[in-house]
Amino acid sequence: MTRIIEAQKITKIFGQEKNQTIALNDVSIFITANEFVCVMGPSGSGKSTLLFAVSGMDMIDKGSVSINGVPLYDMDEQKLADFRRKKMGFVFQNPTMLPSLDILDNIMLPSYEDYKKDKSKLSQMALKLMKLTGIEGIENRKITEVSGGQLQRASICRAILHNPDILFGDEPTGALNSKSSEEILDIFEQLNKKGMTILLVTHDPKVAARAGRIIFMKDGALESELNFENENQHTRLDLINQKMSELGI
Amino acid sequence: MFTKIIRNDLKGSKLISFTIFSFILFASFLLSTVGIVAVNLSASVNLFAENAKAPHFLQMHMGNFDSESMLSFAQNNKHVQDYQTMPFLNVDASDILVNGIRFSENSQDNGFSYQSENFDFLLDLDNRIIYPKESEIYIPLVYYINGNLKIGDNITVSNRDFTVKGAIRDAQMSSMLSSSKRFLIHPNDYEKIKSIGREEFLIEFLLNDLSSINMFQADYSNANLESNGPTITYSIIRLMNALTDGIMIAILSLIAILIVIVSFLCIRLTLTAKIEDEYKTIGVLKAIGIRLSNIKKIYQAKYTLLSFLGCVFGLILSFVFSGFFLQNIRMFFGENGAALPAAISAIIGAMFIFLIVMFYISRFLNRLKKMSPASAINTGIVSDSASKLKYFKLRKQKLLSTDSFLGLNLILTRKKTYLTFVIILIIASFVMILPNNIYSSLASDKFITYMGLGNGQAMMILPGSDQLNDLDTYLKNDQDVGDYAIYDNKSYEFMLDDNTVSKMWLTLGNHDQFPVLYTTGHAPQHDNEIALSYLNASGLEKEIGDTLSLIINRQRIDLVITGIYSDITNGGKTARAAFSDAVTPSLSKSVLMNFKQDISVNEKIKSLEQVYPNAKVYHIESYRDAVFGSTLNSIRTSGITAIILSIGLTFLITLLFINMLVVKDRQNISILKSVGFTYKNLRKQYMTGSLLLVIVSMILGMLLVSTLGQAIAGSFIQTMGIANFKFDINKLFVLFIAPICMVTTVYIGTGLTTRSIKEMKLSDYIRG
Repeated sequence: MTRIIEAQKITKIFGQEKNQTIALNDVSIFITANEFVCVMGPSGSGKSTLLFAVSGMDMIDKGSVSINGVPLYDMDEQKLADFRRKKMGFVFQNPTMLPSLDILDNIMLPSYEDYKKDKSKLSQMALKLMKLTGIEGIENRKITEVSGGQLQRASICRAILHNPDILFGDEPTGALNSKSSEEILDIFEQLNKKGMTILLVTHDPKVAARAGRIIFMKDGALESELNFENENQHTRLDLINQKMSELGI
Repeated sequence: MFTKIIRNDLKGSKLISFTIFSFILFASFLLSTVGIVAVNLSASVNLFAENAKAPHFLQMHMGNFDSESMLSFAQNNKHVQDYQTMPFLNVDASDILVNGIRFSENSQDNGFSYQSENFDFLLDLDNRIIYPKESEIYIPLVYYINGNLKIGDNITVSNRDFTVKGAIRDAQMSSMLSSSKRFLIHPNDYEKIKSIGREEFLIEFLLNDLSSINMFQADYSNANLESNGPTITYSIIRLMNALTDGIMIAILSLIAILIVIVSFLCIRLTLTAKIEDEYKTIGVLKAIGIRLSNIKKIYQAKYTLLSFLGCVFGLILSFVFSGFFLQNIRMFFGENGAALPAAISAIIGAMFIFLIVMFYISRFLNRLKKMSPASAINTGIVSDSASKLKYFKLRKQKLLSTDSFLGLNLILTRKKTYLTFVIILIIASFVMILPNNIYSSLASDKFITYMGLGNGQAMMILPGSDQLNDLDTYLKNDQDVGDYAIYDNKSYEFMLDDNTVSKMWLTLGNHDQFPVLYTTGHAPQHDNEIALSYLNASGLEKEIGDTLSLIINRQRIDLVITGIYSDITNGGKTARAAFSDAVTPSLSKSVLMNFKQDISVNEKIKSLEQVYPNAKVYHIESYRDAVFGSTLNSIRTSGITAIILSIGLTFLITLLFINMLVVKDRQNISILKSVGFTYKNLRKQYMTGSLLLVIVSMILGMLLVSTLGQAIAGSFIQTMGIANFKFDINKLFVLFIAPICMVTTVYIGTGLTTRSIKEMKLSDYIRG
C-alpha cells in the first residue's frame, strides 16, 4: 500500500527556554492511501498539534513530513499554499468561514483561482456537493443565517470541492448535536469509501469508531494503536472505551 | 484594580497608546501656545499703542494746507482731545545712500520724520520715546529685521550723513501691510534735507472717546478739510499690527482642532476594536449586573491617564517653546507684563483639550447602553461585521481578481471602521493641499488683479496733474513700451444715504485695458457708471444697479454702480469711473504698462525713473512681494511643514489602522491561509483596500479644499479687502505630487504592517 503521509521523528516545542512545552516528542506516523484514521488522547496530549504538523499548517522544530512522497517543509510559502489547496482539505471544530461572503462563495473560495475561466462549472460542482451533503437551498445565505450543522456541512463542501487526496479534521463534530454529528460522519464514511484518505482528531469514541485505525497519544508521544477490520460498531466502542480508561482519558 | 487594567492595557497596545498620547500632547501644546500668544498679542498691541499714543484718526495729505482752519476745527470739535500735524518727507530710494550704495528697498514709500510732541510717538526697542541727536538716524524696524540696514551703517541723504543708532517701533507704519516706512531724525536735520523730497502731512487727532470715531469722521468730512490722501483710523492701525500674528494664531488653532479630531478618530478606532474584541465579556459583565458607569471606567481608564499626561506635557512644552512664537510680537511691540494671564490662558487651553477628550470618550462609550447582554454572549459579534450585501457576490463579478474582490469586500463589510481611516486620510489631504493652494494663488500672476491692480508688468505713479500730455506722447513713442493705460486719481465728494457728504478716491480712465478682478458686474464703460471696491461697497451697503451721487464741479450727478472689485490699495476703499473731468485737479496719475518682448523690466523701470524723477515706478511683482512677501514666505514654510505633517500622519495612521485590522482579522486570515491563500494574496487584499481608500480620500480631500478650504482662505483674505477669492492651483502639485506622496506613504505603511501576516501561525487562531 502507498504511504500518503510519512511523518518521521517530528518534534514541536511551544514557548521559549524556561517556559518550554514539548507538544510533540519524536513522533513518527505513517498513513496509507484510502485509510480512515482517528487520533485520540487526553487534552494537551498533542493530537491537534500532530494534525497541524502533518498538514503543513504549523512549522515543526525537528523531523520531516512528506505527502505523496513530497517533503512538505522543503517548500516555500507559495508552493506549500498551492499544495495544500490542491491536495488537502480541512474541517475544523468551529466552522471557519468568512462573514463577508455568503455560503456558496465561501465554499467556492479556495478553488476560484483554479477555475478562473469556468466559474459556472465550479458553481455547479459546489451546488451538487451541497445537495449531496443535504444543505441545498442555503447557498445565498449569510453564515449567521444558518445552523451550526449546516455550516459544518458547508465547511466539508469547501474542503472537498477540489477533490483532495486527504481530508483533515480537527474535532469536526465537536460543536454539533448528536444527530448532526451522525450525519457528518456518514459523509466522511462515504468520502472514504470513494477513495479519500481521512485523518481526524477527536475526543468522541463514536467518531473514532467509524475509523479503521485509531492512534492514541499521551504527553506528546504515540501511546498505542487500535486497528479495526470487521468489528461491529458496538465492539469498536467497547474497545475504544477500554483503551481510553487504560490511558485515563 | 484600575492601575492593573491601565498597565495591562498599555502593555498590549504600546504603539497605539503612544500615538494617542502624542496627538493629545501636540493638541494641548498648540492650544496652550495659542492661549499664550493670543494674550501676549492683545496685551502687547494695547500696551504698545498706549505707549506710542497711536492717533485715533489720521488723514494723510500732500501739498499745502490751511493750518488755521484745521486748528480751529480741532479746537471747536467736541470729540477732539488732541491734535497735531506731523511732516513726512517722502524721499525716493534712489536719493538714499547706504554706506555709499543706493538703497535697494524701493517698494516702500520711504520717508523722514522727527519725533512728535504730543502723541504718535516713535519708540525704541525698549518702548522708550526716542529723541535723536543731530546726525543720528533711527531706521524702520522691518529694515532692521530683514537686515537691509544695520546699526552703525552710514546713511546719506541730500549730502548729509547720518549714523544708524537703532530701530524704531512705529504704531502706524511698522506693519508690512503699511506701504510707508518712517526714518526718524533730528528736527534740524529734517529742515536741512527737506528740499530733496516731497513733503506730506500726517494730520492726526486723538479723540476723547474712541467710540465716537464715526461721528468725528463725518464732522471732518463735512468741514471740507484737506483730504487728498488715505484716511487711517485707530482700529485699522491695530488690525494691521495684529494681523500677521493673528493669522499665526488662527493657523495654530486650526491645526490644534484638526489634531483633536484625529485624536478622536484614533480613540474611536481603538475603542471600537477593543469593544468588538471584548463584546462577549462586556455582555457577561452587563449580565452579572455591573453598572454601565463601572464598565465605562474600565475602558476610560487608559485614555484618562494618556489624556492627562498628554495635556500636562503639552502645557509644559508650550511654556518651554512659546518664546519662539512670541519672537515676532516681542520684536514689534515689546514686553507686556502679561505672564500670569498668559499662563492661565495656557492652562485653560490644556484643560479644554483634556475635558473635550474625556467628554468624547464618555459619549462614545454610551453605545454600550444599547448592547443586549444576551445577544453579545450568544453571538459575540458586533452586527456591523457581517455582510449586508446580498448582490455583491464573488461568483458574479468578472472584473476583479479574487484578491481584489476580497480586499474590496473587506471595506464594504467594515464600512464604519474604514470610515474613520478615510476621514483621517481626508484630513491629511486637506492639510497637505490647502496651504499649498493658498501659496500658489498668492504667488500667481493673476493674484495681482485681486489686489486692485491691472495685470501689467509695471506701474508708474506721478504726483500732481502735470505732464499728462508729455507722458502720453513719451509712452506712445517709446519703442520698449507695449500697451499702456493712464489713469487719473481724483478725490470727489459724494452723498451718503442720510444726505451727509463724504469723500472718495476715484480712478478715472479706461478700465477695460488692464482689468482688475470684478467679484460682481463689470468695469464702468459709460460716463454715468461707476465701480466700487469691495470694502467701499460693503461700507456703503451698495450693490450692483444702485446709484451713488457724486458732486462733480458742484453738480450732483447720479452714477450707476456697474461692478464691485477687490482692492487692497489706498486702504481698500476706492472707486473707478470712465467719465472725463478736466476741472477737478488730479491728485496723481498712475500708468499701467507692459513692455515689449526681450525688454528687461528692471532696466526699463530704471530708465523711466530717470526720465520722470518725480515718479515712483514699481515692478508689479515686486509690489506684490512687498505687500505679501513675508506672508508668502510664512505660507510656503507652512506648506512644506503641512506636507511633512500629512505624510507623517498618513504613515502613522496607516500603520495603526492596518495593524489593528490584521489583528482583528487574524481568524479570517487563518481561514484563508488554511485553504491555500498565500501571504502575497492576503497582502494584495489589504493593499487593494488601502490604496482604493487613499485615492478616494485624496479626491474627497481635494473637493473639501476647493469648497471649505477656499471659504476659509477667502474669509481671511476678505478682511484685507479681497473678495470672492478663488484658488489658482498648482496642478502639478495637486494632481500629481500630493497624490503620489499619499499613495506611496499608504503603500509603504500597508506593506510594512501586513508583513506580520507572513509570521502569523494559523494554527493559533483556528484551533477548536
